[in-house]
Amino acid sequence: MTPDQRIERADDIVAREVGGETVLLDLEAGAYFGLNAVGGRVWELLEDGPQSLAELCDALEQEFAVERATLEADVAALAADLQANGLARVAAD
Amino acid sequence: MARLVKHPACHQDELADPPFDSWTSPAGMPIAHFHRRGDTILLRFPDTADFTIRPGCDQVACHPAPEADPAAIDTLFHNSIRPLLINHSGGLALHGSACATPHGAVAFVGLSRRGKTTLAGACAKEGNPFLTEDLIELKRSGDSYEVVPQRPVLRVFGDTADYLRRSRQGDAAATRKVALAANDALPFAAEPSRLGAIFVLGPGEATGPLLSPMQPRQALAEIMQHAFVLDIEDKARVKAHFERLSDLAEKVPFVALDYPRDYAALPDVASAVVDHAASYRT
Repeated sequence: MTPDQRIERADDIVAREVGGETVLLDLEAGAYFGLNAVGGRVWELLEDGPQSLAELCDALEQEFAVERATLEADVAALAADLQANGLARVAAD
Repeated sequence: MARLVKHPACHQDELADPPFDSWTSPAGMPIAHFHRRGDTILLRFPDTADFTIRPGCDQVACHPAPEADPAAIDTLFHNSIRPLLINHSGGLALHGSACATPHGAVAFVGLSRRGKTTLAGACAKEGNPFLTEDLIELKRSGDSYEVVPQRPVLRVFGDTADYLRRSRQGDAAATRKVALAANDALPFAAEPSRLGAIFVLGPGEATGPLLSPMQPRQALAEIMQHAFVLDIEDKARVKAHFERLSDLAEKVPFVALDYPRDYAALPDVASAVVDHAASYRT
């Protein structure tokens, strides 16, 4: 994905915070996933609709003490992971 | 509570449609297949019985396969069908066993053949009455959960039966379970008991009782394997079920428990479990 491409949540995904961590259940596949703190926050940010990776990084930069380059790499990896597991998709323009 | 209505035995004709859900054993063998029939669900246990379930109805129809053991039909109804109905109707039922201890109920979950019933029997033998052998029915009670007693019977393999009876009666060993009724030496708890902790049984690689508290997220991932739903395509119910399991994972301590599968070690394991449950008492 490029920084300007936007991702959005896939349908039929249930999220729940359990013990301070975010867990996702794919209702279609019955598969279960756990997200770390950054992943959980990204999932929250996607609640308002599609976000580009750059927009996600802008928001996260205000909240986490992480260098921008590290953040961009982490968010890109997370976005790829979410897509690979059917939890998110590239939003149509 | 749902009622089982048994019909005469009949052959299980091959079904044309593929199941929308199936249960398989850890070894990959089929256990049950779910087929949709209009607004009812046909749950087939191959060579044993067909159960017809109409969600919301308090009767479950059963057509046993020829020569099926009637006791096996009853056990399937109590231990496999009822939990599906409980979860479908908004309750919470897990696959596992439980005992009442002075510090609250302790429940045991784990994969098949991990020793859930044997450990419940061992705890009972040490003076902690068993509440259930296979179906953990939970009721929310304030900010905690209670375990509802089920049938006062433990179904175990022959060697475990010998251990629990303190005498060797030569039950045909490892292939067929025998039913042990509760008695003075194997007490049953007839009243609900507040759930103190859930123990997740490991593979038996530890050399002594090994207890490790689990994080709620780990607990949720684990418990999802032991709570079955009637209709996996009913997304609203699956979502609600997930919410209830999440609540359970947050409210109740979960502990990973491994121990050697040696009857001589079981009293120490039971003691370790009870002591650990005491540490959670508030």
